[in-house]
Amino acid sequence: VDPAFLEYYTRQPTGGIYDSISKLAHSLAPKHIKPVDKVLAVRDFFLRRNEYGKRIFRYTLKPGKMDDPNIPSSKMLYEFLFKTHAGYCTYYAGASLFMLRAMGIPARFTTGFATVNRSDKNKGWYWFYASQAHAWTQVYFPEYGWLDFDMTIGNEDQQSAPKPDGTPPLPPPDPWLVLDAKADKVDLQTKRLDATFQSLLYLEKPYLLTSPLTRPIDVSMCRVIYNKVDTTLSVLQPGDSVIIVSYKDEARVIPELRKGIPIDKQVAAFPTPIIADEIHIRGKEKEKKKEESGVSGLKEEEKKKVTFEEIVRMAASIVGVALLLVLFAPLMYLVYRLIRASAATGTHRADQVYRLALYRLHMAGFERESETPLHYAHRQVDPQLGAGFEAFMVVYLRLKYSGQPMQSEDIRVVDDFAGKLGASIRRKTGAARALVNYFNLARALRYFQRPPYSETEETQTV
Amino acid sequence: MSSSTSKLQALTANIERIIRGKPQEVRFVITALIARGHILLEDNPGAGKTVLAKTLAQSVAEPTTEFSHTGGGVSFKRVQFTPDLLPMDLIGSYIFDESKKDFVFKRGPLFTHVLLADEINRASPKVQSALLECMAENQISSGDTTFELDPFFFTIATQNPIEMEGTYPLPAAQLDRFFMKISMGYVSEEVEFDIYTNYMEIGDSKHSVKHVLAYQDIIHLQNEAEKVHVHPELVRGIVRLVQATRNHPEVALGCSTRGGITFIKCLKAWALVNQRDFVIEDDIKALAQPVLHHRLIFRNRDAARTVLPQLVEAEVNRLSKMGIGKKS
Repeated sequence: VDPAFLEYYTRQPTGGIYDSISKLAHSLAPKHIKPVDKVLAVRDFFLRRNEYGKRIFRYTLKPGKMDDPNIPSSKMLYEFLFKTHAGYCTYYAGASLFMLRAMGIPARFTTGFATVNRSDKNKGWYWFYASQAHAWTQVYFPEYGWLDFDMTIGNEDQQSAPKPDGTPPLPPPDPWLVLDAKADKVDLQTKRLDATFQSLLYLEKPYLLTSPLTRPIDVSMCRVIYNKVDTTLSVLQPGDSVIIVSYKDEARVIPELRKGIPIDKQVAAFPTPIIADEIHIRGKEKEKKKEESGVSGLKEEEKKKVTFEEIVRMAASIVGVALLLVLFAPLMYLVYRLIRASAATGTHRADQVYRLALYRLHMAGFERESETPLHYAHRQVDPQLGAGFEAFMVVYLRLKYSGQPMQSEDIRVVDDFAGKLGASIRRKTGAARALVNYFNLARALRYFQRPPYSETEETQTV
Repeated sequence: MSSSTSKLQALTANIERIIRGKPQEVRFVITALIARGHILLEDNPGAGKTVLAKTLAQSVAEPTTEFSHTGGGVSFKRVQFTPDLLPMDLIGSYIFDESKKDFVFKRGPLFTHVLLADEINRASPKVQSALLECMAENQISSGDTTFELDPFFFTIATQNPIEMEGTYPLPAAQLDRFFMKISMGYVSEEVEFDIYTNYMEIGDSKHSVKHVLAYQDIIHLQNEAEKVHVHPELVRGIVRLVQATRNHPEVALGCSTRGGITFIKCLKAWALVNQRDFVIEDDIKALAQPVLHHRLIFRNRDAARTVLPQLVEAEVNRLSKMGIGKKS
């Protein structure tokens, strides 16, 4: 090749942003690899993803600020590469041009139209639109000449649009070969992968080989998918469990399976390499398991070190909590009882009689559901106990809501009810049963679980 | 207090002679009357809506008395609503008087004390809105003249369920004017047996409903109801309840402030009907459904059934846990 030609197409300005572009380019690929791999390294650079699986670079027609004149310049190129990561075809083509030249690859900037709209009337004619104006890079390979490389990435946010004539996008073709494999060796330079597999799907029929088989796989054209998002081959590590899928008819060089010949033999006779169209990485299951078992092993050792003293302390606290749980319900009764005893006179006493009565009745098996206490007294308690609960409730509600003072008659009703309630419960259920009822923890919890008012709604109203 | 109790009991007993097995619904209607409101009865044909409305009207009305502003008596009018009814059929219209050589206003059936608007949702929206003014403002406008109605103007409207054919659903603004919307429902087996065996007597007494309350009695009861004590904590509870309906995600349209005022008015009247001069938490539970439910618009049928009872239950439960003289 003419050195003057090479010099012309690798000429690169220096200083300022061009130095930082060169630095970036050299960090992408080592010096000794083939030019085409360097080009692909640049492509992979634009396809990189962040830790959330989102593309770092994105396509936009408005890369700058709202009031920018939006004319490509070296400053905006720098912003695109190192800051905003958002731009349109010119940015991608310009950036890759300078990156390739920095790596010593002859490249040039090309503009044209990316046309898709074929004319219906005149066969072989195309419609050209201003919005289809495009820019890309051409790379010179001494053996082949100028080849087009378009680094512009698609707009990931946009779904593939339906065709203008309304035909839906084609569904992906059925795979004709699926391998459930383990990656043994990954060569990023030659894009080859050695994979070991035992089970496979061939033309949608599952087969299981008698012994695992290792084959080289050509992954130069393939999509790499990890956690349902596209990624690059560099993510793939030896030892990863992968699913290798081939579906393109162009790559289908493997013969039809014939009957009568053992499957192992036929698979062993597959031409090498097998061309993959998609690789789904499933991650390193084995290593993860190892880590987990290692951690739990440590824990076991720690557990053994727990002293006898600590075990006793733990047991004691468990017994204490259990005892508290068993005694919770009767203790609550005593608390209510004590409060009632301390409330000597007046409305305060009526209040405590009311509270104690509700709790006692609940624990005696008269569980109030969604009724109001008055209705509960009328319908459920009095017909069965006859302790004058309804009469008490009438007095109680009057004291509570009418704003009238307490009268001597009211005091008599309250005292009468407070005295009669315990006796009537014992008469109804039997003294022993009445006592046992106080240890029903589930029932006690139901009493306190009754939502007073959902707090969320209250905060909403405030 | 005792005099109003006996009057109310007489009224209740009088109606229950004819409307059997529905003590709750009878009280709701009386409550609406005492609260100076209007009531809407909704049910399938033949559930006893019209009979209830008519019986109540006749118990308080003096059939011979003509309508007058001075309150000499209580008049009762009944209008059967049909799709071709026009507003002037209700309000009245100017008719040319040959002798006076002038147009004179001929009053329509709206000039009354107790109005039974039967099958109100069969009338077209323009007739429904003609009713709106006299229900809300107690006045009737025709042409350039506005006629005042008696302060005691009580509408009992009945309607068939919305799904029935040939109905125009009442708009939300019109529904809001009704203090209560109740549904009669079918009676229990025993009551139905009782009705079938005694239908002759019931039918007879329907024509001879005793007139137990006079105009002054109703006004007196309405004034009594205003004096019923509502505890501040109960008012607070109602505020919370009303606000909860507005903030509930399943409720598209919550209760208006007018709805809240109506609720308090009805609570007072309900307490009086239940022979109390103070409102208690049970009243909120009893009245929430008839007073509030028709003011709310729910996002789905499930919510229409469950949301209001849940909110009311939570609020009543909170009130029942509050001690005497404490704040909830």
